[in-house]
Amino acid sequence: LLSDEQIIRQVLKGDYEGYRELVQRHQGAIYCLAYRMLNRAEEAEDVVQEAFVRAYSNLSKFRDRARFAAWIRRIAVNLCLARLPREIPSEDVESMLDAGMSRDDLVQAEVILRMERGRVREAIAKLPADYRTAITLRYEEDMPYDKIADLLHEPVSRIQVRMHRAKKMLAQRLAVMLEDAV
Amino acid sequence: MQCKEVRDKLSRYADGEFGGRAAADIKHHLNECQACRSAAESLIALQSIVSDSLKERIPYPDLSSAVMSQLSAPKRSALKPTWAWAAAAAVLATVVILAYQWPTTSPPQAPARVVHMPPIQRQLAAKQHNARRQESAAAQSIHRKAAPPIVTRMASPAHKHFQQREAAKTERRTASVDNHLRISIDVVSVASANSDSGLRVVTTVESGGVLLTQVHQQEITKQEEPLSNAEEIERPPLEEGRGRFLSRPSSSGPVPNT
Repeated sequence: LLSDEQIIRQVLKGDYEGYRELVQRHQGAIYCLAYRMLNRAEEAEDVVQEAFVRAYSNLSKFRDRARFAAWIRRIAVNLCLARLPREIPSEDVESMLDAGMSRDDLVQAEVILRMERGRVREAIAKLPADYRTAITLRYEEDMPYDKIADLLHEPVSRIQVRMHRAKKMLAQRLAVMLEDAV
Repeated sequence: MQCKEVRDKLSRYADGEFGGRAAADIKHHLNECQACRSAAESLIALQSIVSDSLKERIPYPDLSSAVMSQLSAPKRSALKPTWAWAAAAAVLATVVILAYQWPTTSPPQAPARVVHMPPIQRQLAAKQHNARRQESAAAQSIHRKAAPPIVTRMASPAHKHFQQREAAKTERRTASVDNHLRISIDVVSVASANSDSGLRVVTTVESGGVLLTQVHQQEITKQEEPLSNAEEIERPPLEEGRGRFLSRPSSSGPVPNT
């Protein structure tokens, strides 16, 4: 199995069909990322196609070829951000900061929520776009705060605050969901 | 470290954002403070649930063909002008080469060239021609297989009847310049009841199976018998497989004009 770097080298030498292998290798991760951020299948498909077409156009300029996965993800995130409306959280964030779930609640919730991942994803999908993006990049893509800040062109301090508030909001919504479930 | 300071940093701590001394200080506080430890465990549990739910892959469509189709379009369009210019240059070069290597070509519907001679000179010329023709009959028969070696242009308006004649024989020569460009030359011999005859030459230039240009040439001719009021023109045979004409030693020169 050829590495991404080897495939890119072949594509740049003229093996145009080799790029199909790269697309097939990474399209699943990019689609999931785009779908989580945008909540729409059609838009996620558009982002996947646009991201790979853009990457192909700039392939000769891409130097760090071993990190194609990170590069295509960065392109996709930027495309998603351009499509996201700049939502303002409708809920009173400050009041939610004190509405976190207790430890016992969460231990109980963990068992239930692990069986209902679809509902957790639903709760994440209903977060404001900025929060959803931060949560997705951190927990789906495993990106540290400084990388998220770099990707979103924002200071790390703002990402820290956003992550904190996003978790609180999510905890509150999961608590409500659990109450309904119980 | 105070509880408020720890709580402010707890989200980042749970996400592994602190290292070294800062992480050690928070960890030390959590070991001593039950409330903060409970809050940290809650956060870690939440993050674990979120991470697990997000890591679960969702079904996705195979978009590789859609992507590849978008890549090929700009590539093809980028190459198109180059190919078009190359094809145009090849056609132009071919036409120029053919024009130079085919000395008897004439534009369609062009009137035949006529040489007027006094009757006594014509008789003399005919005798000289017949003598030469008998000497070179064997050599000429070889070239007749490729194309009629000697044609005589008529002064009469017989070319007006050219299209009414039936094709008696067609010969085709084909040459391929490269994998795409293909040149075919069809030589159609025609004959009619009144012994007039002619040649129609169709030069076809194709690229990748697409017709680029086609040049039609026709000549009104009459076989050697009888030679009168005419000028001999020698037509070299086609070279097999290359689609161009070879020069060959003259076996029967032009009829002297005196």
